[in-house]
Amino acid sequence: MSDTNPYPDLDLEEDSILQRREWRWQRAGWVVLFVIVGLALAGVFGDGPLSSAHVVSRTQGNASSAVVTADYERFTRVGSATRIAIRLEGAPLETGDVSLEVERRFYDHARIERITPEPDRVALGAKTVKLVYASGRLRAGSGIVLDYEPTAAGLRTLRFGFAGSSVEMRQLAYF
Amino acid sequence: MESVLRAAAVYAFLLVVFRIAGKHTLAQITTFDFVLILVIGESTQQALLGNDTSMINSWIVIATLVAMEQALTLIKGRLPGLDDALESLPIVIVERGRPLERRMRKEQVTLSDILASARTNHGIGRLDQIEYAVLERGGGISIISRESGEKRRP
Repeated sequence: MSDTNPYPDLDLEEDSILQRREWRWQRAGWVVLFVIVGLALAGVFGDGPLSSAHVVSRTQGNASSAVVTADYERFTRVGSATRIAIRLEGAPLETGDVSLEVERRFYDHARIERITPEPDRVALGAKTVKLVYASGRLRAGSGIVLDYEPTAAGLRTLRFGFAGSSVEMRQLAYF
Repeated sequence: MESVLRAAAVYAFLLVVFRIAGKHTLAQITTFDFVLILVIGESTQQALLGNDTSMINSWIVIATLVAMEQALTLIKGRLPGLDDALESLPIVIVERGRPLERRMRKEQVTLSDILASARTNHGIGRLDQIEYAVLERGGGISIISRESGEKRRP
């Protein structure tokens, strides 16, 4: 309470110091709100320029000409649909069945909605799940699209492999 | 567990946002303020319930919100400082017919807001008939007319 009441005929619990502090906090709060909206537009909370990412597998020494590229969102949200678009290239596409290896732990925190095109067979390994496509179904540059929803918040590393090459993605899921 | 945390988080977030927005926003002075509240309510609903539309879940959410409100009221009773910080204080915006421009600007209240309140609630048509206008904690504008102010003075 301020010492002097400037309105003698008004019982009012006005407090100019508190009032001024409140205005300062409010101004600061507005700045924070605008920053949040700005970050959201930029894609820091998913779905925006800062969120879209593209990775290409590094060619490894072991002679495989397989190349995996992936487009994904760095920032996702629990319960909100997101997508990873994978592209496979290289000689291994031409020789027999093609399998995309997905780490099993990916399934721990994601609900897969759809895989396009659907694999002919799914093989479970100790640490990976293999999505197997019959010979000839995928051509060079063929895309495999995974639509899914993260089911738990957290920062994860996702790894997708194809004939000895692999791509790694870091993905953050907000709550 | 998640429902409780969800409801508590939404409650806390709304508390902060409306505090930042200022008294004025909740008072629904303009039509658009009303629309804004409606739309906020709509977006909040999804955040509160998530994908779980079961009856129990809605009970949990409602119970959590009411419990938060009760707890906060209890705490505010013990700590008057917190009450002022969370609920703000009323502030005089017109003094003896003279609008206090700086305060009005800070609180985003316009002269027409004040005059509208004077007309609707007090049948007062002119600024010089207003002894005091007070922006209340809830965002409403109270008007004390010249006559009633004079009556009270000895």
